[in-house]
Amino acid sequence: MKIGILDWSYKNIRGVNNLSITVEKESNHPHKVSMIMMPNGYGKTTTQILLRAIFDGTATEWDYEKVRGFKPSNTTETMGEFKVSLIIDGHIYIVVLRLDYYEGKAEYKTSRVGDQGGLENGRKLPNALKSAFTPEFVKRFIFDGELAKEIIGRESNEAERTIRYLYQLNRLDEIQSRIDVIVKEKQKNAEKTSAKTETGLTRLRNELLTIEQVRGKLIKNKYKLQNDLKNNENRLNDVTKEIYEHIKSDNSLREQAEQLERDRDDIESKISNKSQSILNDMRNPFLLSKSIADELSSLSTKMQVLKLPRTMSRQFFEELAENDICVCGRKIGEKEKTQILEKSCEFLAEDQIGVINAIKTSIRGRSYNHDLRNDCKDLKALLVRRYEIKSDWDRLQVQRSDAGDFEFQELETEKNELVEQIQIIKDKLKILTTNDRFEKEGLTYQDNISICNEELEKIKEKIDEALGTVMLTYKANKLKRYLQEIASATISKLKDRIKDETNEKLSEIIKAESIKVEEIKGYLKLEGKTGASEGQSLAIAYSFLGSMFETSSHNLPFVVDSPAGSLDLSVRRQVSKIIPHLFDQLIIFITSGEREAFTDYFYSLGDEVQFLTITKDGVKTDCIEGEETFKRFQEEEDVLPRKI
Amino acid sequence: MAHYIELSNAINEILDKTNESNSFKKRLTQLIYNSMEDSYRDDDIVELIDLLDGKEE
Repeated sequence: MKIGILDWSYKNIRGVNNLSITVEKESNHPHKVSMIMMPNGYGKTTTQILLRAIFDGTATEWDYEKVRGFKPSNTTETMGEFKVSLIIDGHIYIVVLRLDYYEGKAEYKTSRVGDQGGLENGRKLPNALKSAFTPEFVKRFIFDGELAKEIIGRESNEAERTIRYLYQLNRLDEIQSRIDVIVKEKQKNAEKTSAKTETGLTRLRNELLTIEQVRGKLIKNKYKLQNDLKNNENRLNDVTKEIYEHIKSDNSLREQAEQLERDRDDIESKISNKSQSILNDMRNPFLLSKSIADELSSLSTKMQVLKLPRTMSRQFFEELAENDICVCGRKIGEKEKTQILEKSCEFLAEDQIGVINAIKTSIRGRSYNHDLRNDCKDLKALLVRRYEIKSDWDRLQVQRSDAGDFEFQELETEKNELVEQIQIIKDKLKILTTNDRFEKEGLTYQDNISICNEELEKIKEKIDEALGTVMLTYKANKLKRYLQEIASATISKLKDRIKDETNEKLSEIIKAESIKVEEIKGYLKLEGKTGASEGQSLAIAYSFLGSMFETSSHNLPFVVDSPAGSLDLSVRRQVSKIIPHLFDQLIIFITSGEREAFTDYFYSLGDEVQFLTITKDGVKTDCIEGEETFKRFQEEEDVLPRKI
Repeated sequence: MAHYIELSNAINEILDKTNESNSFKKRLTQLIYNSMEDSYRDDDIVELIDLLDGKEE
């Protein structure tokens, strides 16, 4: 990202009052170096604070006293304004900081299309820039001299954080955040299971094992019951035959027994046929009861006259009218044609009429009769007859038993026990094997094979899903780890390179003493020294910041107040030779007392450097451009500056 | 600027130590460079995750 400052202006701001300063060399291109002579008390510090607020966006948090602190003492104005034009990647942004001295509040406005384009509320800079420009970071390029000492001796990660941003390693952090969002999204979509970890997966696998074991037991039990049922039924069959043989062996009972057997077969067949016939009749609601038939007939008569669905049938009438012969065989003349088309509307209704027509057709021609009722009566009589045959059969058995046939009595007892046992087995099998939804109500997977299978399917689906989710989480973490390792390795290499370049610059600036950066941690660790003088700290800071900014992914303006203040003359000369070449745009605020040994090199740079001098006449402040004014300012009291 | 030497070297150094496929290495490198230009999509990340070796290291 390339950021430049083109101009700024003050309206009712303490120290400066009202003033516009432009550092634009040609359209949308700032001067490489702008050196601004601003005497003490004219608002240098104020300008630095306001510029920082433009970049870090903290002004809205300022309290009442801080906002009112920008109000000039000699004015009754209630509003102040600081406006900066920036060029960011070729686009102009005008950010206005409005200071309400009455309310003690600050607010931002932004225009992205120029002064005439209208101001939007808020500081509408590109998001990537807004998130990176924390107050600490902004101090690195709207430079605070105080920071120089902090860079050297403070346990802080600010140096590393700045490198991360300048070399865009924060973008790798952004990818990691996106990975988290993607994983979260996929986990959210995995609705079947809440298991997203290895522990959750193990729990599901254990659950699967338990259900599989239960299913195994149920199937084993089913086979056992089926086997028992078969044996018992076979035995019952044998016992029944033996009982029958015993009865037939009695001459007096044989004939009755054979007759009962024939009657029983006949009755069973009739019952089966009659039941089927009744079931068929019950599907016709007209036969169920007279009142249902009456209600349906009443519904039919209340329905409107038979009509045709409009969309499908209109065409039919139109085509019919065009024919020579009607469907009834008569000729269609002009009169008939008109009649067909006019009358067709009376036979057309909404398209849903098709359903009503179908109902009408179904009802039509049906009527109630007593067939079903009679069939039911017949079935009842057959059932009574079956019961009678059974009673007769029981009576024959009692007669045989009373005759003292002990073997027969034992067979009877065994038969009864077998019947009871078979019923118990059938009940158990039903619970075990039923697939009926209603019969399964109240049963669990431990009772029923079908429920057990359903549970198994569910748990397998959950496991499949959890496997995918756990694997996704694992892979996502692995990818994040690679990105972290790459970022750390890059930082480490960048620190080495920046350290070497810082030391190279330092050796040129400070020749009297060997000062070297041993390591860049969060701060700069000096070789063999625990601290440095104020001047040395400043020289180290310039060397470090310059090296860091020099090849970074972002081109930022560097704004510095009193860059030579505490440096001795020798160091000043060296710093002045290096500092203009470190940044694409350098804005220096300087006082007349700091010119010595610092500005000489800048004079030699020709039109690369813009010289501005801020003067004041009472409350009126002016900005004068020119090297001569700059050089002579405050040297002689009678200098008459040229206004721009 | 996106392809500054320290970043390129770090990518090679870290990826050389892994058992990941060449396809993964190539795609991750491209994703990182694209991120420097702010021009990558979520799908690029999803595809990269799919290419990752799921084995423990």
